[in-house]
Amino acid sequence: MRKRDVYAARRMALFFIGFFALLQCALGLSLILGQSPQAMQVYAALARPPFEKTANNKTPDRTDQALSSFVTASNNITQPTSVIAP
Amino acid sequence: MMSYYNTRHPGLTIYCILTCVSVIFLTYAPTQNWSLGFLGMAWGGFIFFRALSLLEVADYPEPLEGLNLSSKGSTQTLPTLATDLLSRMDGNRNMVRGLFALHSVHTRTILWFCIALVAFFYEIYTTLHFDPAETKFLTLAQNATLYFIIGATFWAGQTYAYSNNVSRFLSIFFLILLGVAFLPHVGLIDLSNFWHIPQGDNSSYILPILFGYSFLALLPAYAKGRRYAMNSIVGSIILLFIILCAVTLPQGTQSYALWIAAWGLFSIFWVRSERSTRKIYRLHLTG
Repeated sequence: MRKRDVYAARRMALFFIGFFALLQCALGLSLILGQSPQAMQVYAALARPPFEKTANNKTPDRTDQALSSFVTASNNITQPTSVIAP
Repeated sequence: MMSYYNTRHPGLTIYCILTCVSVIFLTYAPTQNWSLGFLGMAWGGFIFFRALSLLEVADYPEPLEGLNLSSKGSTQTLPTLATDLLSRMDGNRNMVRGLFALHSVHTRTILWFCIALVAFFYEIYTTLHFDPAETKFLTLAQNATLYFIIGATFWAGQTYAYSNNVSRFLSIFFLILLGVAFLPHVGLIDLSNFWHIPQGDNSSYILPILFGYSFLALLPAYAKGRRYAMNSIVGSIILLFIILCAVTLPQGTQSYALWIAAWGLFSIFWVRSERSTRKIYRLHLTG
């Protein structure tokens, strides 16, 4: 191994050490923020699986759910009463 | 750009303060997430800046052609030249310190960290089963922080152990810390645990693997000469002490304080079993 390569390997090792140190800073920050309820909500939202399994082990179709809730909501809209006399 | 090696740096003082605070906190104060987080951030910042400072001397020294060897400043009068030479010699001395500190990125040390990293990820794989939940994440962050502090003490100790004076000071300092960390365990040593090494999800793979690797890595030093062999023997004795503590003492955050002090003490003999710290004077021109 040439001397120049040894120096390059040392620099690479130092870069990795610095990277892990920054990563540790982020972990430390997350430990501090982990005490607050808002941060716990964020963790819970991140950790939640994107599709919950139903009782019959089928993934619910989110598109249908969204459509049906939209239709239900639009049916419930009451016509606004006009304040201007015809 | 202001050079790190022009002045005496407070790195060793910060390192001692951080180690002292970590050991005392983990030994005597109840573990809180926020305080552990502050410790982790402080250690992360310290290691980042230590690595940054070593990057300054990690460049390959270019050949002397093309460099301006004349004295700084336009005047070539005798007092200016003498002052400039003295300044360069001072910078050179600090630079050599940095070059000695680069022994901490020796191949066997890098391999030590790679093994620790692989063992840590394997431990995550076996214990967490990739089941994300907020409590699991906080447990993971706690464990990672504690292991990082141990690794940081081990690595940063090597970067300062190049000097005879500093290594002597660090030996005494870590022996005192070891005593402080060991005090709460005095009545808790259970030799019956010696033959019943705990197995299962709670047992850590990292420390036993690192003990084994460190023992193996110290072996070549026995053939290198009397001074290296002496350092290896002392290092092996410290490792045996750590293993004895790991097997006979109950696990908990107090044991992590013991590991921090013990690995810090071991780091001095680890680096000195590989490379001598005799003084070599070279001229490093910084342009």
